[in-house]
Amino acid sequence: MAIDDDLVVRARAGEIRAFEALFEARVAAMLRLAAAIVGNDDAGDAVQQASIQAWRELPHLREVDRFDAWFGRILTNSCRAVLRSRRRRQVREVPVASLDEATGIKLSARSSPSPAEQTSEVDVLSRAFDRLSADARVLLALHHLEGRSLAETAARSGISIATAKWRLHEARTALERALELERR
Amino acid sequence: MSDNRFVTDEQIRLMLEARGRHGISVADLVASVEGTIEQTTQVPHELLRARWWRAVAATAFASVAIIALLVAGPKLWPSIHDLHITTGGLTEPALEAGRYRPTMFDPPITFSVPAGGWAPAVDLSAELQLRRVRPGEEARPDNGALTIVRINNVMTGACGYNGNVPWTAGADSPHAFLAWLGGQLPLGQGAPRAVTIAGKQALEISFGAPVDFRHTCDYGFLLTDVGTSGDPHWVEIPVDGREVRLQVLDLSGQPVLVMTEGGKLNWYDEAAATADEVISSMSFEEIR
Repeated sequence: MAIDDDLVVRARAGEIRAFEALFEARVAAMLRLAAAIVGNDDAGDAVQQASIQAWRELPHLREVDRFDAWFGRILTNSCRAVLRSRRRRQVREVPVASLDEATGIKLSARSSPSPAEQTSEVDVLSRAFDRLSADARVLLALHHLEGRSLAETAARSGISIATAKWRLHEARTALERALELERR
Repeated sequence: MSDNRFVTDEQIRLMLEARGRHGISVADLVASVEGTIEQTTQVPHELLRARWWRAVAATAFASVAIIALLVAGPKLWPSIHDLHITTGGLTEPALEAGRYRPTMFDPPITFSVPAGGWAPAVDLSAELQLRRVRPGEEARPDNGALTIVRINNVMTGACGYNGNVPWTAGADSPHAFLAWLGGQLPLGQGAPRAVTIAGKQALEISFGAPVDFRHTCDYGFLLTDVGTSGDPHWVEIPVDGREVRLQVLDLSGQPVLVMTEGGKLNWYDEAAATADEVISSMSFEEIR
């Protein structure tokens, strides 16, 4: 039995230290995904809620080797819940400072933008992302940030591959529309 | 995906990586979570709580089954295959002829399919979907589908920004469910027809939303959230003009919807006719 499987079995049986070991090994990646989906302000809450829910419901997990997929779905659902709890809100500001470090990518076909333009364009794309629905954000993050295949993205989202493909396309289109709005 | 777009894959990835560079203290978060977990009790598994009862029931059931098999012979007990979905839906091969039992769907159900006519697409605790496979073609989402849904709740308002959908219990009978639906969608003037499905009384109505009908949801009219444990999974009725048949039966006070749709290419008659073969073979057990 793999080390993690053993930990899952023990955590499922109620051993707190085993669950803590599982959580500590995953918390960095969880925070990264949550921050990408919900933003820096709420990522900690999303991870915390997901972790506590996972601990409470772990006895219901039947297949030990599906722990990561199961935990991942709880996290993305927690992100959805965080976003929905904000209700319909205005686009929030994303700290430009954190985006400054990202890259100098350009978001349009213009050639040789200045560093100021590059920062601004990353910021604009991030703000456009903030306009998307929770489901769209989750799909884009799973596929483009975590690099998950279409099948994995579908499985993590509880939808068929065909639906995932379609909704990814819709999410992408929505992002492009949102970007146009941000640029006006 | 191609990068020949207004926004490229690489730009999306880099933007998400930038967002993912959070400024949160991992140590503080770990301490907070672990402190909370120390005070949080796990939810015991139902199986654990009811182990003795289930063991007795399983033994009794196995005894009866063995005796029945010995007495009646295997011909009276055609084999029932477990319905396995391993690829997330679309790429499942068409089922071979036989009788099937979904592994997740509740209420427990068995049904028969002809060879090559249907492929399994969804098997969740409250939603079961088979997709129509037309002769000579692979299973496609636009070829029509047969969907069986346990109605846990219904939406109470418009789809909101960020997918904020309000849900409520209620619609606790076929009449109440169709009355609610009639207030949401243009079902037409005809009264629902009384039918029998799997020996249960049911109400049936067919409709096709006008092509200019506008709804507030992105992907269709949201009907019910069949997810569990905070894990949303929505079931939708297509409202893009295709014809849809809704049959709602009462299973011990629980409305269960059997939805037949012809698919985007609108082979409704064909889909309904082949769906009827499956529906007429259905046998429900009581909800677990």
